[in-house]
Amino acid sequence: MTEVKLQNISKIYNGEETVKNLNLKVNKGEMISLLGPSGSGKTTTLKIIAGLVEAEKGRIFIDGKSVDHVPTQKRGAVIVFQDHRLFPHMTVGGNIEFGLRMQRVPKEIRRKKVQEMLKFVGLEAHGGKFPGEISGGQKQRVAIARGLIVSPKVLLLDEPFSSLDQRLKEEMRSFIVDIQRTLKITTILVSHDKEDALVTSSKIGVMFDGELIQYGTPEELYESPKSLEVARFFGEINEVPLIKTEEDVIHTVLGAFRKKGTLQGFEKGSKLLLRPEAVTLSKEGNDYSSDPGIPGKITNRIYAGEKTYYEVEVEGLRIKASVLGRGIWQVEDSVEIRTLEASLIVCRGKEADNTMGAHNEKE
Amino acid sequence: MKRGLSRILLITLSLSFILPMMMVLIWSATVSWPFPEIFPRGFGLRGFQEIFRPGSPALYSLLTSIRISIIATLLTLGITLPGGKALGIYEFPGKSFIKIFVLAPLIISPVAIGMGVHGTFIRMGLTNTELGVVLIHIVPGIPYGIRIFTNIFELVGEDLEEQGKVLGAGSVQTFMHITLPTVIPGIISAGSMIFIISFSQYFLTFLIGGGSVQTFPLLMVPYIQSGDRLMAASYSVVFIIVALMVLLAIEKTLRLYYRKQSGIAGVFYSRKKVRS
Ligand SMILES: Nc1ncnc2c1ncn2[C@@H]1O[C@H](COP(=O)(O)OP(=O)(O)OP(=O)(O)O)[C@@H](O)[C@H]1O
Ligand SMILES: [Mg+2]
Repeated sequence: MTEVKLQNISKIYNGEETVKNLNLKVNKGEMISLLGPSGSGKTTTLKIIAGLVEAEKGRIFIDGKSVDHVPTQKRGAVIVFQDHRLFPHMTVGGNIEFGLRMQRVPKEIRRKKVQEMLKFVGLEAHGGKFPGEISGGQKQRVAIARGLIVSPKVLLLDEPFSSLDQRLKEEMRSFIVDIQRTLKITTILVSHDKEDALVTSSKIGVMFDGELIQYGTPEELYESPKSLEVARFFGEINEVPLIKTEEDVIHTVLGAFRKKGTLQGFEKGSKLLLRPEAVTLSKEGNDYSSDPGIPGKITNRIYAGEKTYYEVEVEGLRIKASVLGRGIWQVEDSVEIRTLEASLIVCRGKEADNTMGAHNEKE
Repeated sequence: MKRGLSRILLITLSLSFILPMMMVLIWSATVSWPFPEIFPRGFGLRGFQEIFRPGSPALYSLLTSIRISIIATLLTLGITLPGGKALGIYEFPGKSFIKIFVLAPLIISPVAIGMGVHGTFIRMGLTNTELGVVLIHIVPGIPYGIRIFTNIFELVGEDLEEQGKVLGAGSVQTFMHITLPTVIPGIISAGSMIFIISFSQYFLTFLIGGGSVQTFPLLMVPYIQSGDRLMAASYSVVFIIVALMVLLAIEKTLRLYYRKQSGIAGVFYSRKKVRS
């Protein structure tokens, strides 16, 4: 098992910093995800780890040893690219065999291992076909098998699911999680789909514009995102409009909250966020709770099967809410809004973000 | 309408190739065919007998020609493949200038280039040598090679090579097992063109070889100039057949190499085995 560490990595393309002072540590045998929108530098980061792209600044350590001067073919970091990149002139078996052939493994052993690997990924029947003759999902599995056969120290998966349909995607996700747990290969998965990351990884890093904004467990990222941007990446969210803050009470459009528990971290410039599922709707004048509700009016209703999404107008502002199953409220209904106080998320504002970046640099 | 037009064009084009070729073929097999007569005065193979008679300079020069052209082709490919790759994939200052510059041999007449190089070759002792002829034959092939490989590499990019490296292939292995097979179609077309250009080269061979390097065209052209139609036609037929044979051999060899690259697994998991 292998540990990977990136230290102050920067990459400049055409005068623009594509990767900005990136610090990342992946523990032995761990699987993590890098999440970020298109163009945020995820692929570039993987290429830097594999040595395909040279960083202008910073160092990379694999198992504590600097690999800055180790060429790609000796790093033991295998990338499985989004577009498969199967060698068109080789059969499926030939593709999988490639890495072993480069290591000059004897023919007999190669044959045996390729056969095992074909079986492992469920493609026994396709070893003699050419890449043009198999489906997208099968190509993806060939690409993964081809990477696994060389027993990489680090497996780098670049959006391995983005070209697959929903069912195949779920199948491949659990396939990769299974492989990773069985073989315990240190793995970095890159994606712009939050679900890929949440489902597969023990840690998630969110990248924007080449910067690693936050790195932590899925729970940390979902429940205490460091910024509104990060929070938005993990789904719809309300920014609770603030009215004024006192010594120990925060007054908002959705009511007043005491600064205790998670709200203790609230300071000047902070934002208060609320997931739609933490907003509860009830009938006007309902007095089951001592806590007074805030009156609002339903302005939009979207039924999506497992959930129903609402937009509620409160004092001229739109608040998003969601309920499980088929919500009973219709457009124009008057409702009372209550907030699950424990679900409120405190995050820093924009200016505070920059100071966080500066803090990173010192590390 | 459109189909009719394209058919007429196709027929015209084919005839313009086939008719002169037919004439050459007929000429090569006549005994004699004086001008105003419509039919030749009998058929024979005197021309070919002359070319293939023991001790004929034609056979020897044919070998020289094949040798020179094959070496020149390999060298030209060796220069234009990496050159085309650099132009097709990498960004560097002065790229667009170089792209035009390498086409110079197409634009500037070979006479000018040959004259320009002549002095240098004399000083280096390369005139009247086969090596000198080989080197000068590289020049007219370069634009074709560069063009073809630039286009191919613009298309295939670097993706597969990156994948190869990541899987543990060193530079030489990447080139042999990935780059080369992916550009084989380009090598075949560029190689054929470059070979033909060199094989039919008269002027540059004459200029640098100075008559002491006797290639096949060097023997052939005097017959054409002196109006010995029979001999000229026989030489032409041999020329065409040999050129075709060499091209075919090149293509077959490369295709074999390509097929071998499919990996041993490809042999073991052959399609038949899969179906059974
Ligand atoms: N070889 C290159 N030359 C110049 N710029 C590049 C190169 N590769 C990437 N870039 C630029 O770097 C930025 C980050 O690219 P990268 O491919 O790392 O993004 P990404 O996060 O993987 O995006 P996506 O989700 O679309 O794959 C982009 O703006 C891209 O244009
Ligand atoms: Mg990418």
